[in-house]
Amino acid sequence: MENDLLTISEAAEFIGVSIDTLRRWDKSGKLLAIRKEGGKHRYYARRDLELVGSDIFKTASEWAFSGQDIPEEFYCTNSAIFQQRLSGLQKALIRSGSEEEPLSLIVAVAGEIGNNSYDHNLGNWPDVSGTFFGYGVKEGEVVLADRGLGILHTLKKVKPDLVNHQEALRVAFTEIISGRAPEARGNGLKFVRSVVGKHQIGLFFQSGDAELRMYGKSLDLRITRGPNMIRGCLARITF
Amino acid sequence: MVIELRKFGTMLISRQAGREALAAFRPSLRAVAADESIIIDFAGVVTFSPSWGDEFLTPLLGEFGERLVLRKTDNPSVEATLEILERTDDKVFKQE
Repeated sequence: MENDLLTISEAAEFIGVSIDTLRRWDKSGKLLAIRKEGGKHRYYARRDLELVGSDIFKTASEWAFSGQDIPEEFYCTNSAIFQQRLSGLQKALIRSGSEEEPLSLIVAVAGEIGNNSYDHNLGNWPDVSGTFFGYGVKEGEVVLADRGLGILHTLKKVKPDLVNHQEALRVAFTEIISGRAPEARGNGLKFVRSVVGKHQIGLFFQSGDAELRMYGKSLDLRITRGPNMIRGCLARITF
Repeated sequence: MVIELRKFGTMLISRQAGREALAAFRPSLRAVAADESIIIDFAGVVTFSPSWGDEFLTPLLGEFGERLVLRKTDNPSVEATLEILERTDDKVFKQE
């Protein structure tokens, strides 16, 4: 498990702001840095960075964790509603006209993650069916969540030897399962990794207690065991 | 025969939509001559994804092989999708 604290330069890259901005936020109290035993250097916890300024992500995290009611504006009860709202994201990105990364890739990544939720859980939702889908074009984020079976449970059908959520996430994002039996699915998250890793797009993806992060132009998957266990999946795409 | 994908929508995303698109188009494929190419035109498509592509393009590639020809496009979501489909299917799409 890697160290959960990032240096200020790592933190700046992680959320795509300058080091000076982080120093300013520390002084103003918007995002307080951690100092080790009274030292001068600033450190940041990944979770604090992810939550800064993102009410959508906070709402999605709480729902993924507890399953309590979610505001209707974020709730896609079925796949058709998700497609419709995803189309809204595509239109909003076209209207904004200033996206740094190709909008088609952001919509495609969100589409693959969201559709995975429906494809793998149809008829098997453990409690609440459907997905959480929210976005802020100005804020540069898309957030998705579901309370489905999760990656480990789904992959165990074809790879029964998988033992934990971290291993399952690594397989889901890296291995093309030969024949893809018993179902013609399974390349969506490899596509997500390939696109995110080659562009200025960040990704947080949680399933069970495993947390995966990708940032910077790198295909590296940073997978750790987080403090919270969720049912299903929670994802945040930043751009 | 040219298949203009924009006629199926500008956002080609889910497996279900890809399956429905191919099923709806299938009767038109009967008109294809034995030596005729099927040309896929991506013009006008904004977002393309592996789920839709796997349900629409992969079966056509299996049936028509080298007679399936993809028109060049600079849409990054098409390029990224074709790359992952070729890796998954271990086949190469012929491009114009």
